[in-house]
Amino acid sequence: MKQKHVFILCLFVFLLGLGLTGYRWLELNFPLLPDETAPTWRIEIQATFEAKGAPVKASLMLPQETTGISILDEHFVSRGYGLSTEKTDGNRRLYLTKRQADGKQTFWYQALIYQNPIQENIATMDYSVNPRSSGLSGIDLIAAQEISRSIERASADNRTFVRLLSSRLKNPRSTTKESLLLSGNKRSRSVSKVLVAVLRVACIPARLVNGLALTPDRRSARLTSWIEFHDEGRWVPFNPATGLFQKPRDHLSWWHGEEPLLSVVGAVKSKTEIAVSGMLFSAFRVAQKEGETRVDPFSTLSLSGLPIQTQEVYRLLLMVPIGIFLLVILRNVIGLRTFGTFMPVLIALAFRQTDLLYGVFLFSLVLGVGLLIRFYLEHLKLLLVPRLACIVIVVIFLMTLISIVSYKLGWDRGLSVALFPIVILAMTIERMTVVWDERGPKEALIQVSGSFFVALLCFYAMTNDFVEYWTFVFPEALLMILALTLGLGRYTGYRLVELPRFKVLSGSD
Amino acid sequence: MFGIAKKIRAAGVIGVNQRNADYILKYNSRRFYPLVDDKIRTKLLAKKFGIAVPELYAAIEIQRQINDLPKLLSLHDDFVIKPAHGSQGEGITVITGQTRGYFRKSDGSLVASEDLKFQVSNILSGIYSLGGQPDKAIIEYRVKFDPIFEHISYRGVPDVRIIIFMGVPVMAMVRLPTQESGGKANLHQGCIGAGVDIATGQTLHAVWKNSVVQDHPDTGHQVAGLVIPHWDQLLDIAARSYEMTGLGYQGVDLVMDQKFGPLLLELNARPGLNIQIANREGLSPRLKKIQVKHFSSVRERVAFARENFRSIYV
Repeated sequence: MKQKHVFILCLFVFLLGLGLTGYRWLELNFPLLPDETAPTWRIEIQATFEAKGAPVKASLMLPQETTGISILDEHFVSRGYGLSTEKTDGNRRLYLTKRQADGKQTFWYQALIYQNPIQENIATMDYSVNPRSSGLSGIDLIAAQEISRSIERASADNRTFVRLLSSRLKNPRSTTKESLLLSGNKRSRSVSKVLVAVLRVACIPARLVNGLALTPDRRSARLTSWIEFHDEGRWVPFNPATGLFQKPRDHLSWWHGEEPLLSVVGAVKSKTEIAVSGMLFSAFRVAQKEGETRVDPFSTLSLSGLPIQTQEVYRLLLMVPIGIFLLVILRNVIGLRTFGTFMPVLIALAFRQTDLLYGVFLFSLVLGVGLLIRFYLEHLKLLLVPRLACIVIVVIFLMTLISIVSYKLGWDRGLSVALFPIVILAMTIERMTVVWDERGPKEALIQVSGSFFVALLCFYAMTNDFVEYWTFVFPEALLMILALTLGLGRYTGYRLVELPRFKVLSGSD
Repeated sequence: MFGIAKKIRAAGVIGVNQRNADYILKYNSRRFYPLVDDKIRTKLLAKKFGIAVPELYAAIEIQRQINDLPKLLSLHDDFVIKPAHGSQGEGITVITGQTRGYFRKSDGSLVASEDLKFQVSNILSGIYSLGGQPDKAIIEYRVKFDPIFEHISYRGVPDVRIIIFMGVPVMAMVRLPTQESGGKANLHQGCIGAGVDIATGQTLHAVWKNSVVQDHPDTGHQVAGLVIPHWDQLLDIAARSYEMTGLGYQGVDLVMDQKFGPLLLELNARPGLNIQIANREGLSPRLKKIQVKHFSSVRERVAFARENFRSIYV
């Protein structure tokens, strides 16, 4: 009767969890695996310049949201600067201003950018820029006009014009007009610039595109450029480096025009440093972001809607059921003995924060010294509660000492000792001495190593990227864990350790 | 691995999980636990039901009373100090005599009354009780065990453990202390367990540390083949303890005193499973036989047990 009840309840909870998970996956497009990364990138710009006591006005080009590109998150860090963003000429700029600045100035910009690989970035014609003025004059203008005239005769439409022009610019004969325009500089940026100028002379609207290569974990990324020209009512990208009518693969088109990334008035030696990195949770965040616009109540019921710090707390908390489930298996199916029921899970949580090796080391250190002191207290014949209180105080004192000493020694890992659950540690020390006294050091060591072993397994389960991703993105999957745990509550089979114990009864002898 | 599981399942062996889920959680109502967890209550209850227990000399409940300890102890030549909520024989001190103000422990060593005071204080603060709850200390009559066990136990007091299910004795064993168990009568602490045939009260082969032995490792005497005296009485006390506590599945610990005969030492709501090893038989078939029956009297239950639970090794 009870068996059936539990079974039905298990099944119900399991299916509920499965259904909700499935809904989130299939309907809301939350990816099942963490490495199903939608191309989301963290871009970080560090800009520096030296101010000379005069008013400073700096402008930084920012990426902007267009079709296929969304900015999921954006931060600016600058000390004492007034910040404003502005959309002009089809670009988005960040203005930093200060009445008086002196010495080296640094500010950071960080953005989380999602680029949909399917929806190509098809920019519509934007007439706010004047794409016709070539900016050329004098002899350069005449040279450009001659080139365009000769190519116009040999080309059929805008596309062939662009292709012919590009190949002529890339292989200039040394004395020709092309080399005059390029002035001996063959870098792709210059080729793109000249391309834009000549196209404009030929009355084909064109513009320079500044882009960033999106490669995982690239510190000091370089900017590249290509062009867009007007053809049949829309902007067509052309990459002079490849000669293809598409923008370079995995590149973010950042801003248009010949302006530099950072321009500063009132300061010198301006420099920018760009870092790019791929993101783990990206696909999930993107689904989240897109869910916001879809107004699906279930999709907004997600942890990523919480403030970042709270999210971190839940990222940790949601791992606890996994550890506890593992503990249930290890205790009730395998039959391992541990100190305290959930102590290993809490220890594993602490290890998660401290890193395993340091965690084990620090834990053993506190436990070992705590035990020595506890053995000494045994001689004083103190009553139980004051004795326990003494151990807690000693443990806290030990942890403080470890932190201070390790910091002085320049070993900042030691600071993480503060993350250990103090009371759990104290209780472990007390229980261990009692077991030590009553059943001997062997039993105490068996139990403590059992606890460590379980903590270790829990640690591995709880630091697994995949598990962490799942519990955070699909919290309803924990219902399935709950169902399995309920089921284990009625597991009446043997524990693994009972098999050798009752082997005598197997009738084999 | 699975081969063993299959074989012991066929032998009807019950594991910890099954004991807890199918018997303890089902047949032992939690509200009856205090009756067996507190040994003072068990004693009083047993007296009410006319079951003999080791006489309670004194119960110490607060630290202040410890000062009166020497006076209390001077009244008795020998006695046992133990925690009221202790488990697995922990925290028990056996004093066999007194010489010049010192107490002689069962292992022959002498202790001062200060040491006994500290021991009692520890008991009161709850180091031996489950969950560290404050506890009481019991000072009681020291059992002088029946000479039949003299050659097959090393110090300590051998006791008889009978598992009863719905008031029917299911399986029994006698636990014989060894040097290794330090006089304690607990199988996992290294004492010998010998199965006892429910029908006749005769000891079967002995089990020591999960293996079958013939002789007591310290005394060298044969363990099997002894007939436990007063077996009828033992079965009767065990069966009656069901009415006493209302616990469907419990372990009854009995001792054989030279003077007073069988005494009820304590009851256990979560009796261990090693009794199966000592009997080399699984509990499950016997429990199932009882589950389908209804009994009207203690006598009927004992008779049913003697008839049905004859050991296959006799």
